[in-house]
Formats: sequence, structure tokens, C-alpha cells
Amino acid sequence: MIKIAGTAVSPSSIDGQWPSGSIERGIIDSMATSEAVYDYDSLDLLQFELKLRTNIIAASKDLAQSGVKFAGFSDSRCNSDYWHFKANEFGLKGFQLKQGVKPYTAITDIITNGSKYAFECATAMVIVYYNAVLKTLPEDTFNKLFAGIYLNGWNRDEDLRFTSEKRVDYFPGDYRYFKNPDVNPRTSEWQGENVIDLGDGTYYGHGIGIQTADQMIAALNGYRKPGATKSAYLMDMAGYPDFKYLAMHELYAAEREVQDYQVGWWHDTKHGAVVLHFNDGGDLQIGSLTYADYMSFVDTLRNEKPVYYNQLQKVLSSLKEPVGEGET
Amino acid sequence: MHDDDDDDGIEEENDMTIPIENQERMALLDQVRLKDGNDKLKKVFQESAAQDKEAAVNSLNHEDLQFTSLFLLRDEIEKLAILEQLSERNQIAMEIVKDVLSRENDTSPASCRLPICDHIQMVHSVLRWMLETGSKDDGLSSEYIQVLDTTVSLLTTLFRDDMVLPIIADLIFTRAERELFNYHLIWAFFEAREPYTLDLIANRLRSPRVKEAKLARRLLAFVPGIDVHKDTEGEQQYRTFQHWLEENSPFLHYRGESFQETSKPVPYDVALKGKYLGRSVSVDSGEILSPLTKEEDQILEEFDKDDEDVKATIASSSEMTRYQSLEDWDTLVRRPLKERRKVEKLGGSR
Repeated sequence: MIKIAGTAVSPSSIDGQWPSGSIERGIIDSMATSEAVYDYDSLDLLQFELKLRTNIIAASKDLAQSGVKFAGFSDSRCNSDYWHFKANEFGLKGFQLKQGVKPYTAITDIITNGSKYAFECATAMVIVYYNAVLKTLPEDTFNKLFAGIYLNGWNRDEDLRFTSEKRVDYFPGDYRYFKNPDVNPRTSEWQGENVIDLGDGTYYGHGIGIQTADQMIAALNGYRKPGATKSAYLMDMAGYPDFKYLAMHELYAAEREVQDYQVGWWHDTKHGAVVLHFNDGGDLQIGSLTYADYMSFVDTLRNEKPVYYNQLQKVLSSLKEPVGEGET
Repeated sequence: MHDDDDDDGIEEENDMTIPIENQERMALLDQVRLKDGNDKLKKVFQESAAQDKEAAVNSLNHEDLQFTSLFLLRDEIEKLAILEQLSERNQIAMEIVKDVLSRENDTSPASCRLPICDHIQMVHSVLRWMLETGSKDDGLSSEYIQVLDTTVSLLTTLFRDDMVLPIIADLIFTRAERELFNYHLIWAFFEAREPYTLDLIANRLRSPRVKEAKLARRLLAFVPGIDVHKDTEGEQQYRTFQHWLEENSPFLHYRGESFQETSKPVPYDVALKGKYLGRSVSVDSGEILSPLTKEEDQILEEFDKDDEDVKATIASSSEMTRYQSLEDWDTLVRRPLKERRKVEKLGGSR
């Protein structure tokens, strides 16, 4: 079931902007028929998730075609114009963004100069997610969010807010894992394959390429120990970045001009609320305000013009103006 | 990548003074290597072979020879074409080294076989010899690291040899100190599937060395109460680990999650059904090892219907009651779960 602002919605009421048979429509249909509830505060947030998911698929295909090579940690390589090697506590040689280099430029370089890079499959997954977010957010926002990128296996910036867990539903753009429990100890790097679900029955895994689940399993089974009894298999967990958190950076990073407002003070429970109406047609309720916060809002809204609100940073502000205006 | 480290490692060994009593037991080639370095070893061996090939072969076949010397002399052995005159131990070790290093240029699955499987017990003892006598020279070169990594993997996964785990644990942490690649070692250590050997890692939670304690916390972060970011409570975290292991060791199930799969792997989880009934489980499958009675089957069927966190709480309280009084526990476990949840104010899913 899909809920927008607390109300259940049908796929037909929200999927008009995507063509029939598209990845986005497929995701909406799967969510709508699921037993799980997919709850969004606004349609914007769902649209952002769909955009990022399709960009994850595009980013996977970008990396598959980039000319990047597969290599174990000890043989990894990168473009030294943008990255330098730095080992972590596992002795793994990762790529640290060089000082003065913009994250956007360095991540883009992996795709455009793929032949200069070689790394293993976990690093590839993180790069796919960075590249997808890069395609989705404004360049400046991406550079601010991911200022200190350090690529090393599953190491990633906290702002990706990447999690993986058991799921009842799987969607295109999810991270999945094919496990090879009987891997030959001589080739332990084939203990499993990190992949992205491309939504058409295929998966992208760095080193194996774009394959169906059966092909992935067959490839991993080729690296089992002699006398192995267990086949490789697709695990029942899925990983993804925090779509709603990242959406905030696109949808609410800008300052919006306040056109008018309503205020209220509940004297029995001693809390206040303010509703801001923006000149872009949207509105926002800010509740549970203490008396001091409530009075600050009222004071600014009553005495300043124009007034702007930044929902991401939670800042109500005026334009620059001369000091001492109140004296005249 | 490892070249600089290699040189450092060798210099350290060169500075060592060999105690006289050890010199008597030590093979001549090892004495030369440890006293005068790797180049001198090769030179002495070449000169010895030029004068008396048989004596040179005998020096290689010395019972106490360390793997490191054999590894360093492999080019000379090939040039002299004396492979077949080497002892069985040395021939197998040379075969393993060749097999591991040839893989670099051959990634086909068909190459992933030991061509010496006919002598499987001998292979096991040779692998042990390679690790036991070769581990102190870890970091000699990237090739040497590759050989030791594969040696370790074969010992823990194919031979399930838990006796070598203390050496592997030492290697993991010394490599971390030197920022050398220890990923495969960590994987191989956990693949041994021996929960009690986790103590080899947990001991390092108390280490005054910052890097060592931090790595121990990362490896054991799946244990409730071990916090990767808390670097001031080593003793406390060690006690937390010990308590957890004592409570759960018979019920630990190896899930095989590794750092390749996630940044916070959970290699072991607690098989709650086993813990609830106080029955040991298979570390491989998590299934209870001994046959169950009909009544126990029914108890578990009801138990299985609950949420995971509720099950974890009930299993823990069951374990605690069993520890305090078997009689009380026997009564408790037969009570309907609905009633037990009420008593423990847990709620539950249905």
C-alpha cells in the first residue's frame, strides 16, 4: 500500500507522468500491491525515490561500460589526479579524495576515465550509489554532502545513510548479495558477489558484469571447493540509501519566500504552532514550539519583509538590511 | 605496495641475535638468512650447490628448515633442477607455492585445484609447517603474503584446523599495525567456525595499542555492548564479551557474513530455539543437535510464532532461570508462552 500524507493512494492517481512498462510504474505497482505500507509525507518524496532508483540503475550501467577493471585490494588503482591511496585498519588500499578536488569531479572521472581504475566489488557498489546521487542532486549539494569521500570496500559517507536488512519486497535499484557458501578457499574473493538489481531480471556485479540470477549463481558455483554441496544463492536482504533524507537536500535545500502565515498558541499545553504559506503555493506547519521560539517566529513574520524559510536548515531569515532600522 | 614494508621486515630479522642453544637446532640455511640476510642466503646456497649439489639438497631437506628459506630459494631450486631430490615436505610446499602464484595469470575456475590432493594428510602437515615456521616473516613480499593467506584459508576451511588460529590472530593484528593486507586472514579466521576462539580477538579489546584495540572492536562489533567508537573501556568491553560468550556459546550459529558483504558483518548469531530449550546447536546450520520430544517440538512451535526481539528476551530469561535452578526452569518452560509473556510484561506479536 502507498500512503501520501497519511492517505492511501491508488497507482493510477500518481503514475501518470511515467510511461506504461517503465521502471517507475513497476515500482509503484509493486508498492501498491504489497502488504507493507510505503508511507511518504508528500508525493515529492516518492517521486525523488523513483528518480534516485532509476539513476542507480543508470549508474550501474555507466560503471559496467566505463572500462573499469576488477582487482583485489592489493592491486587496486586509481587516477592520481584526483585520488591518493590510503590504507585502513584491514590494510586495504582505498582511494582518498585529494585536497582541493571536488567530489563531483572525482566520481565523474571514474566513469569517464574508467581504464585508470581497478577495484573490487564492494567499492564498486559504493561508487554506483555516489554516481546515482550525483545524477540526482544539484552539483553544489553533492559536493557539500560528500566533501571527504574515501572509497574503500563498504566504507561510505554517513550522508548516504546506507542500510541493508531483510525485506518483504525488493525493488529495482536495491543492493543485493549472491552468497557462495562453499567457495574454494584458494579463491576466497569469490565468496559472494555484491550486485545492483537492474529491474529487468538482471543484476550488475563488478567483475561478473550484467547477468541474470541464474548466470550469477552459475559463475559463483564455478569457484566452489572440490566436493562442494551448497550452491551459491541470492540472499533475502536488500540495501539502499536513505531516500527521504537525500530528498530533503534536493527538495528543501532552497530558501522559500513566505507569502503569509497563521499562528496559534495553546495556553493549556503551553505550546505554539506556525503555518507558513509560501509563494510557490506550498505550505508548512511547524508545531510544538516553546513560547520563546513561538515569539521569535511571530516577531520575524510580523516585522520583516521579505521573509524566507529553509526547511533543511530550519532557518527563518530576512534579507540583508541596514542596522538600527528600529530607531527611525 | 609491500616493497617498502618488506625491506623493513627483513632488517628487523637481520638485527636479531640467535641464541646459541637455538643455533644448534636451527638449519644452517636459516642461520645464514637470519644473521646475514636474504641475499647472503641465496649466495651461500648457490656456492654450496656449485661445490656439492647433494650437500645443498641436504641442507634444504634439513628437518628444522623454516619455510621462509625454502620460499626464498625457489628460483635457485628451479635453476638447479633439484625439485625431485627434495623431501616430500619441500616438494609439496613448492607445489603449493607454485599453484598459488600461478593463479595470478590464470583466473579460470578450473585452475582452483590443488594438484596434490592424493597426499591430503601430508598436505595438511606441510601447510601447518609453512604457517608455523613462515608466519614470523610475514610481509616479506606481496607474493609471500599471498602464499600465507592461501595457506591459512586452506587450513581453516578445508582442514578445519583450529590449532593454528592463535597464529592467525597474531598475523591479523601485526598486519594491522603495519597497515598490511589482512582481509583474507580475517575471513579465514572466522571461517574456522569455532566460537570459543573469538577470545583470541577479544583479548585485544584490552590492548594499550590503539590500532589493535580498535580492530578488535570492529571485528567483535556484532556482540551486543561492544562499541567500535568507545576506545576507553577496553576492560569493560572484554568483560561484556566474556559474559556474552559464556551465555551463548552453545547456541552460536555461523552465518558467514564478511566484510565483503557489509561494513558491519554479523558472523555469528544466537540460535534462539536452542537457547530457549538449553540445547546445543550446530554451528553450521543453527539447528538443535539432539532429537526433540513431541512436547519440545510443540513448545518450539509456539515460541517460533513470536517476534525476534521477544524471542531473544524470552530465550535469555530461560537461560538465566536454567542457570539458577533446573527445577524452576523445567516448570517455567512448560508454561504457555502467553502466560510467560504476561509475567515478563513483554507483549508479543500475537
